[in-house]
Amino acid sequence: MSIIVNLDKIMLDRKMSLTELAERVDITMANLSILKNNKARAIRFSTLDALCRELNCQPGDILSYQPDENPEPAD
Amino acid sequence: MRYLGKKSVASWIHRVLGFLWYAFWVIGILLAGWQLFTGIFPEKSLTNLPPASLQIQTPGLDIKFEGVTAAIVSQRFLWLTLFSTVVVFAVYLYVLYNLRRVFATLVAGNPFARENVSSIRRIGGAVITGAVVRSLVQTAFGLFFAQNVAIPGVDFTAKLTLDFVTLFLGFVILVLAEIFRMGSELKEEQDLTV
Repeated sequence: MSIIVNLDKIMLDRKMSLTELAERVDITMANLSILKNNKARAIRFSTLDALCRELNCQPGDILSYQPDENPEPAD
Repeated sequence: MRYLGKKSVASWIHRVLGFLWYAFWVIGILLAGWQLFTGIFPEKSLTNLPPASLQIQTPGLDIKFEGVTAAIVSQRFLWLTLFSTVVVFAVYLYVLYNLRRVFATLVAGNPFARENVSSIRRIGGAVITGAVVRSLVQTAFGLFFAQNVAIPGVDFTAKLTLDFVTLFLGFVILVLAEIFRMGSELKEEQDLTV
């Protein structure tokens, strides 16, 4: 997956723990952990909206694109 | 009426499958054991006694013949009977084993578990294989009757027929496996959507 989630960096800057962010954004710790560890397949706009609101940032601060060295063929 | 989860139709079927699993093991071992005994000790088995009457049962009709004579059953045929019993029961047990695994996930409320795809594929393959094997076994028994049983005025002709209905069902099950594969992919996608 070429989309990288930079939650760690932003949470550190805002001095916010995973538990606190999960409560504020109203998603489970498990789901937030999946997102933080780049295991998620998709993110809802509602979740992205809540993250940007609570972390006071832009979507581009949380998500970045890094092309794969060996790109997967499109379906 | 609940169909999935605990105390549902699926859980009831899972219990029935569990009973059938153990019952088939017991019946298979007893039947194979008896056939092994007749194969090793044909002179002590009952199959050497020529029957005085022969009864053929079909759905909706019973046919009884009197004055039947039969040749002594060959030992080779007894070993063939044992082999066919082992193969047929192996297929049944294989299907039951995979069905139990599928229904265990249904009782757990997780029908699109990844392992169900391979289990259902294996069931489809076993149903197709079982249909072919059963046809061959039935033909072999038909040949035995044609060669060893004599009834005045009655002509036995063995023939090979394939159970196309069961074959068709086997392919339907393989298509179902593909549907479950798509379902499990969609579920995984949904589970990993935050």
